[in-house]
Amino acid sequence: MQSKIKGRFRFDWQQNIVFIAFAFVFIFFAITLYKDGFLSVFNIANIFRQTAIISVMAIGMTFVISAGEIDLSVGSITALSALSTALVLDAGLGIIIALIVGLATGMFFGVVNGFFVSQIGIPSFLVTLGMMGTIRGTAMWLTDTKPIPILNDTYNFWFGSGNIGLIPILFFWMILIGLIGYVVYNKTTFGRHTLAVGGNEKAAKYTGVKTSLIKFKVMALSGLMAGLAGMLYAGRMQSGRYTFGEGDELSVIAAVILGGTSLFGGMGTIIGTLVGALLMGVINNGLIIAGLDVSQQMIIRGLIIILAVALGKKK
Amino acid sequence: MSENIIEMKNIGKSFNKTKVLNDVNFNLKNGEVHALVGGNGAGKSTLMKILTGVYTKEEGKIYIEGSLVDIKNLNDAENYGISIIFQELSLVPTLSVAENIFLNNEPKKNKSKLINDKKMIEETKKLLNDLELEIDPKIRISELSVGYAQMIEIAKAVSKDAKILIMDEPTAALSENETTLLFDFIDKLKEKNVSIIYISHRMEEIFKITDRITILRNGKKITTVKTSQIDMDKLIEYIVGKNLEEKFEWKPRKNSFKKDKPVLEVKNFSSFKSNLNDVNFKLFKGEILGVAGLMGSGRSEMVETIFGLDDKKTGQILLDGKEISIKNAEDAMDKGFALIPEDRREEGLILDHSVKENILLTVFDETKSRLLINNNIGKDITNNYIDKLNIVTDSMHKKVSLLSGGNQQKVVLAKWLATEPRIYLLDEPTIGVDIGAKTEIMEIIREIANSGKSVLVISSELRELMAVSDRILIMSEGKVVDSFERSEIRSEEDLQHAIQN
Ligand SMILES: Nc1ncnc2c1ncn2[C@@H]1O[C@H](COP(=O)(O)OP(=O)(O)OP(=O)(O)O)[C@@H](O)[C@H]1O
Ligand SMILES: [Mg+2]
Repeated sequence: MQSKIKGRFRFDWQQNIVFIAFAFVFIFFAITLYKDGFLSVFNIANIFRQTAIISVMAIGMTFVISAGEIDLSVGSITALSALSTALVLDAGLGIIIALIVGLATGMFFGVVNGFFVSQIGIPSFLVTLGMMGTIRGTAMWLTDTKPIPILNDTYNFWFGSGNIGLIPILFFWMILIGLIGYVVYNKTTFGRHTLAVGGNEKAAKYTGVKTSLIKFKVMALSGLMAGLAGMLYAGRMQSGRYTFGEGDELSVIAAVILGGTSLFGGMGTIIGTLVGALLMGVINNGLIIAGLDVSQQMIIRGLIIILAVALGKKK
Repeated sequence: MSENIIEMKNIGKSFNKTKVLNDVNFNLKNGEVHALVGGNGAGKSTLMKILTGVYTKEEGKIYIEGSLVDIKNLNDAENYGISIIFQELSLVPTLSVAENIFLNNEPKKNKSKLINDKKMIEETKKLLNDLELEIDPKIRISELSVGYAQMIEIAKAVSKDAKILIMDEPTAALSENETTLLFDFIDKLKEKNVSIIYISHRMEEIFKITDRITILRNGKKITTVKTSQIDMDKLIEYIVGKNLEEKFEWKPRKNSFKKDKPVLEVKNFSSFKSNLNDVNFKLFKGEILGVAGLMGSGRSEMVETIFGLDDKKTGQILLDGKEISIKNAEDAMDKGFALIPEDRREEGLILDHSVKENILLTVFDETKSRLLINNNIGKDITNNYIDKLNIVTDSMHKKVSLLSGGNQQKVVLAKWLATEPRIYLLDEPTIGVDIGAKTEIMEIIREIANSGKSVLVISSELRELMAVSDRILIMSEGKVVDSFERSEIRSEEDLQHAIQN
């Protein structure tokens, strides 16, 4: 018997570089910014607050990218879902209705994206690039660019502003969505088939996987997650505003790719995504504490992202 | 119940107005192994894709166990107990062996919707054991060579416990040993009364394992015969439509070549990455050097390493006696090498481009007159190869992905033949190619060598290797363990013996 193939032990750089990068950056800031309170409970809580919303979108995006697609409309969706949630609460319709409307807004646009991608066959890049403008425009038009304040304290507490003990409520959202995402991604047929579609669509099809349905579902899921993210923005800012989430799509995609998910689809990790989002959060936070101005922050952040991804490529 | 488990009646199908199946009747008896043969593009795969719901038929009817059925997709086919090994690998490279075998068939933890990974891996181990394969179920498909991937493909198809199993060129990428393993397995399936449709271009296999043969030519059924009632010559005649003069016989070379200074010399070649271990050999001007060995013996790795695709190698390459270093594939091409890779889909073709674009890719510069591309030169080159290799396509502008498997392989060949290098490295050049074109390719290889170029050819089909090689190297476990002059080898068994040890 000579057919023998063992899994050679190989450290998967692409999937693990994010942990190393995270540890490195964290320790670096912890030492250099110790005196500025980087490690203070307040600051750590702050990092989670800043990271959680991106994480929620990034979980959805991990599915999308794993399926070999992309969703550029997530940032715009958050704005519209935050606004619609705020409007519902403003009208005094209560949290339940607000929840339904906020999520439905996100889901609706996800479904529209999914329809064009899976049924009409337009590349997701184009569909969501178009939708990105359309949705943000709708958000501007909806209230004539006016922000809508949210005065419902219960809502604000549970959807963004609250703390339980020292821990921000957003942290729990991040963990909850992360956990669900992990199970769905790794333990269900939907997750498995998502990877199969991204890995080799034809092969998946020839194995009876309903590839269009999978594409439809990942786009819808991403919309739904963006809807939730918008509601969290609303709770955190205690208002809805058309500017929410501007540029978030890029942070979200960066978090996913940094986390070790392949930009070409077929491979990915949810935990990596969460750490990728945290890494971005830590970098942002550290640079601000270090007193760098916005232009310097942008330069350094960009470089760190490229460096981390480049290291991940190393065999 | 009728004796036929499947009856396909008057099946017709066209693609863009080209009729590829015309009034085809096909019956599969309960428990038989039925060969489906024919030249590249004859319509074999298309007929099987119709049976499994991948393509929809335009005319005709399908009966399973006597009742009329309508198979709309693969899941329908599976429900009727039909399972298929596609000619084009249907594995997801980024998923593991186990994940692939159970794709769309994932075992669940009791009463939940969650995948039971443990059970999946255990069952995979059992299945691989039955096929005598020691492959880690958790390894990614992308890490396996084509041959092993093919075995996984087989494992995937049999995992479904189908009553009817279709195998579309399952052995194309396998060497003798794995093929034997597969045949043993087919025997076991027969005992379980599984009916099998077997597509292959390897005639010996057909005679070894099948009970009946159906021959297709140009989309029409020629006949169905009992395997025991036909001989090889007659079968080949049915397939090609004429008597094929020269089969795979070794012809002494017209121009003898001098063995003084080697064109290429490889010394102490080792690579940790691909388990090459101190490979040494010489290749002379005008020589055809065959390389034989089992799957995983390092044959492909050796040529890939020469071609600069492995950056972790140690050892020397001497070209015309001078040491050179080859950094990457482009560098290798500049230095006069061409590699026809084993895995054509991954490495050999741009599937979404046309036949013409693919063939001309390597000779782009030659199609320019002054600065602009001269379309006529390109067309001439393309037509020449379409003709020579008998590539079946409605036009040179057809997307390569829409050609039949064997015709895709011919495009790969044409593409590299067009570059006219000094040293050809051919890795399984005739995979999936029909018998007519095979003899043509053998002849082309001889012509190349006669014109003073050197050829290194890897093949798992020993008959082929023996037909063209002047000398044959035997590889085993990353080493060149033996070397024979062609005249020293008396029979295929001899060679097979040398490989096994
Ligand atoms: N999807 C498609 N679109 C257009 N033409 C196609 C398509 N699929 C197959 N064909 C054409 O149908 C013909 C028959 O192809 P098929 O794959 O059935 O051949 P085959 O007998 O399996 O050949 P091979 O031995 O090379 O695998 C070929 O000429 C091929 O180009
Ligand atoms: Mg075929």
